[in-house]
Amino acid sequence: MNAQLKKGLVELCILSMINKHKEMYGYEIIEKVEQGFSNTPEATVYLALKRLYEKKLIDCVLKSSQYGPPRKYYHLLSAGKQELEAMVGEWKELTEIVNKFITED
Amino acid sequence: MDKYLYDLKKELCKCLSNNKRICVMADYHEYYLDMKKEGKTEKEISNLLGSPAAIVKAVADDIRVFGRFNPYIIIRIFLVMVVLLLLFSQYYSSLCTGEAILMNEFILFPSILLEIAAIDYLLYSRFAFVIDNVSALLNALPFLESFVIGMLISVWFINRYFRNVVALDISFLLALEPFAFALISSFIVFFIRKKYVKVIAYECTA
Repeated sequence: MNAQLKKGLVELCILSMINKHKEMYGYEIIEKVEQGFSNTPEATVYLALKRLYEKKLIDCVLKSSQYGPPRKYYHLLSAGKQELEAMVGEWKELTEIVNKFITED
Repeated sequence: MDKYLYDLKKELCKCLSNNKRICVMADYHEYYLDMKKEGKTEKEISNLLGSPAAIVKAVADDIRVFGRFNPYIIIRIFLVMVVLLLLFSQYYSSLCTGEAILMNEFILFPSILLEIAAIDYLLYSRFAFVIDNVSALLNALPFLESFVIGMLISVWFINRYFRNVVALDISFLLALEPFAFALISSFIVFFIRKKYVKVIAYECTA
């Protein structure tokens, strides 16, 4: 898949994953995205998480871990839920349009 | 430290400020430990997270502010030198002449604050001009900074409270005393600073 296209979609996937699981830690998110989109460019997921955090769509809570430094658990903020709804709407609209072109005789 | 994390830290030192490097390292350290826990090898981790060089390139491209060389660093170093020179000239002139006019708290305290702010800005926010062999020096700088702060506080203390008591002809002893005070206070400031920086590292996300 095109790297640029993949980058844009990763944010949508992260938001919807966190929304489903309520709370997720960094590696869990990276692993799941990597399972879906193989060969994601380096730091894509990390930078997407950082952008979502800076846009105040997600927040994180530090929870102690027995394996080392505390882990960051990410959860969705209300602005994130709104953004997710808007993104899902746009995505559905976009796929409908593209599907029309693809399936058109 | 494991090779992957060591390489990542080394690469990050080349183009990111201390604060940003600590933040990125804290996050990748967390991912790395989670993967190790799952029994993944260094090669598998590198494949999944990306090579240290590629991560740093992606992060630096995203930040876009820092390059390998920042010309403003020279101006900042110059400003810090000017501040330090002014402070030491005050100290020196007061020792030579016995005049303590310039060594009052109205001048010294703001100067110390300015010095702390200048060096903090230089070291912790914008120190983008870092090459590998300077890393060791960088690690020593917080201690040197604490030493300078400690010495300045000691100089003020001695001038404020002992200047009238001690005769001027033994002023060379006064010159040594601040170093003893400085050494003790440096350790205190240094350890507080170390703890404080660690807290910052856990607080920020990216």
